[in-house]
Parts: sequence; C-alpha cells; structure tokens
Amino acid sequence: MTEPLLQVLGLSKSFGGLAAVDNVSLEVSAGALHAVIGPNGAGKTTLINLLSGDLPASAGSILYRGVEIAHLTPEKRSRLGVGRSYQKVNIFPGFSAFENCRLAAQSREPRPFNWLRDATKYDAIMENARRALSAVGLAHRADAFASILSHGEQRQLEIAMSLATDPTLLLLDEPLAGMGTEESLQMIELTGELAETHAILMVEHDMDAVFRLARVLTVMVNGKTLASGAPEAIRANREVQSAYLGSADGIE
Amino acid sequence: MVTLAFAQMLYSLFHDTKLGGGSDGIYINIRPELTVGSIKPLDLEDPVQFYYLVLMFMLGVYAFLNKLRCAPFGRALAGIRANENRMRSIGYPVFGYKLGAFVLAGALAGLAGYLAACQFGFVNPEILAWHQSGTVLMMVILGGMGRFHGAIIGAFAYILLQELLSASAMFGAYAKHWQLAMGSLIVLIVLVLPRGLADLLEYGAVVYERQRMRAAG
Repeated sequence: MTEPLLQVLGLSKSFGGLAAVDNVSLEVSAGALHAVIGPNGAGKTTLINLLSGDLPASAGSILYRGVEIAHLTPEKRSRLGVGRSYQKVNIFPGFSAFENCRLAAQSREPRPFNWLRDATKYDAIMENARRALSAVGLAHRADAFASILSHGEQRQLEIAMSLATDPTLLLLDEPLAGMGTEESLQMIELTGELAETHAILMVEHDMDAVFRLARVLTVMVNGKTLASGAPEAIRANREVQSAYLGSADGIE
Repeated sequence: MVTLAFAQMLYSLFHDTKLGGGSDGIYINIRPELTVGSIKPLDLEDPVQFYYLVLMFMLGVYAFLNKLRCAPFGRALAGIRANENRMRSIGYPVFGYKLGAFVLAGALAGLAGYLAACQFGFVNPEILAWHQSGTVLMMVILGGMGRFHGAIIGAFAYILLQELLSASAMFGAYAKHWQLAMGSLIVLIVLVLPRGLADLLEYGAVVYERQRMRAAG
C-alpha cells in the first residue's frame, strides 16, 4: 500500500462559537473513491472548502503528497493538482461551454502574460479543453452559452472545468444535487470512470450513488467524524444507523 | 471611491507644496523633438503633424487593446470580471492579473498625459483633481461602457459638445453656462441610450442589415 495522496489531520474550522468542522481526520488514496456523508449542516461542504482553500482552516493540517498545503491559496492548491467542483453551480455563465473549459486549461499555460497571441492559437490548451468537454459528454454543446445549459449540463460543465486543469485529486461537492434520474445515472457513470484515473473525495446525499461508487466512507455529524471505513462496515455500524441512516434517509 | 480619494490626495500634495511648481504647475517651453541626424521627420510645433501623431497613437492603442482582449491575458481578465472566485479555484493568481491590468492602464494613461503636456505646454495639479477623473468617466459613459470604440466615440462627442456649447458665437451670453446645457444633454443621452452613443452604431448596423435583406427579398 502506497502512502495516501491526501492526509487530513485534526482539521477544524469555527465560525464564531460554532465548530463547523471539528477535528476531522481522513485519508484519500489514488483509485479509491472516498465519500463523505452526513445530515445537513454536518460540515461536509465546509470540509471541501477547507481542502480547496476557499476557506482558511482554524487548526489542523492537510498533507497533499506528504506536503503541508493548509496555508496555501486556492490557486496554488489548484496548480498542485487539486481540482474541485461546487455544490452551487459556479461557472462563467456569459461564456460558451468551451470557453469555460478553455479558460480552465489556460491556467496551466506557463507564460500567462502573453499579450498579443490569440488565445485560440494555443493548440495544447485547445486540445485539453476539448478533451475535458468530451469526457463529460458535452462536446455537442461546446458553442452554447453556459447560462442556457440545463442544470445537469451545468453540473457536467463544472466537472469538465476541473478536468481541464488536469487534476490528480478531485473534490466533488454533491455532484448529483438537483439532477433528474437520467442525468444522475450519467453522472454516477462519469464519476465511476473518473475514479479509475483520479483520487476523488466526494460529498453526496444520494445513498444509492454513494454505496455504488465509494470504497471508503466517512460519516460526519455536527462537524465531527462519527465513523470511517468500508461501506459494509458503515452500513452495519449501530452508531451510524441511529445518528443518521436510521432516520428518514435510512437505507434498506 | 478609493481611487478618487488617492487622486485627491495627490492633487493636494502637488497643489500645496512646491513639488511640482505649486498650484501653477510646470511650464514646458520646448516641445519634444524627433530628430534623426539633422533631419527632423516630425515637427510637433506644427498642429497638423501633432494631430496626426496623436491620431496614430490612438489607433495604435486601440488595435493593441483589441489584440490583448483576445489573447490569454485578456481572456483571463474577462474571467476575473465575471467570476473571480472560480478563477482562483481553477488556478489563476488573480492578484497578479489585476496588477498587470492596473500597470497597463497606468502606462496608457501616462502616454495620454505625455501627449497632453506636449499639446498644452504645461501641466498643473488640476489634472489630478477629481474633475479630470469625472470628465474621463463621463466620456466613457457617454460613448458606452464595455467597448473600446465606446470610449473613443465618447471622448470625441464630449469634446465636440463642450466646444459647441461654450461657443459664444452660437449661444451668446448663455455660452458661459455651457456646463448646464452639457449636463442636461448628457442626462438626456444616457436616458435615451443607456448603453451609450456606441449603440447608435449597432442600431445602424441592424437597420442596414434589415434593409439589405428586404432588398434581397
């Protein structure tokens, strides 16, 4: 077993007196999709924001490839290979779907301050953008404005933008949120494919999807980790059943 | 607002100290010269030649900015304007890009200042006062924001209007109060064309296109 790609140790975030994320530790390895589940307000999205750098951590450490990244800005973490998607669609609505991806791919251009060469003449960037868009099945919508895409397509575009930056670790914040059945199935299939080539940490409410995709599960309640382990072990865990799964969201 | 405050601070600095000649400013009695050996290809004392020099600079800057807009740097700036937070999360050092844009804007404003000093033969602290910032802003709003040609149309329209309304040959005693007419006109134009005079061009293009289609059947 190689050392995990991402190691989170005692990560905490408080907003005033509220501990949104409280002493959370977990590990993500390449090729093993790690899902974080838990009731609303458990601190799952805050955890993703801490890992991506959108929020600064109050305490704890985040080791990526064994290097501390907790103090780094979001753009630096992105450049190290940490890509993320947002729970609330976060794209460039006024640009075409392709331009959304092209802009993401362009962030890897080593000479960013070129002032005169047309942006569409960078073959490697254009190719990466095209590949990312095809990977999520949006190639036929390349020229459409992102704002007129359906909700499901916008979610796919979210993922495509992350892919265009060629990430090693993907942080997916509820990729299935607000999706119809058909779209959900597509997204589950896509996530499964991505898991073969990327390390993925995913926050998700859809239990079917979680138990189909995840190799490791972490359950969060009130900012704390309640349990962590293989899906079967979590399913059998009494504490988890009473705290979370036994309620309205219960699993059979 | 912060930019305005800083401009006003600099204005006070130059106005109330001897740093730049106090409130009188500095006079430049000799125009810059371009000479190659003994030949003088450009005589800036000649208003016509000076006019064409400035025109060339304007077209050059316009072409450069249009090129820049389509280059990676320009596209990244558009992305930052649309969604700064997302730009960060896909790996853009946003501060660096903003700084780059600011430096470029400053350099172009410096070029304009150089040409203005050449034209008028003096600089005084008034060009740092908020009136000047306001005038430039007014030109952009008049012409139309978000388009480079909007700023050009706006600048021409503003100066022409100012010259026209302050001409006593046309308006007699009222010419002294040209600001009143100017202000009213600008308010009126902005009400009719919220996106500026540049919209007239676009309307024109649409109308022309329609007529051509109709003529073609």
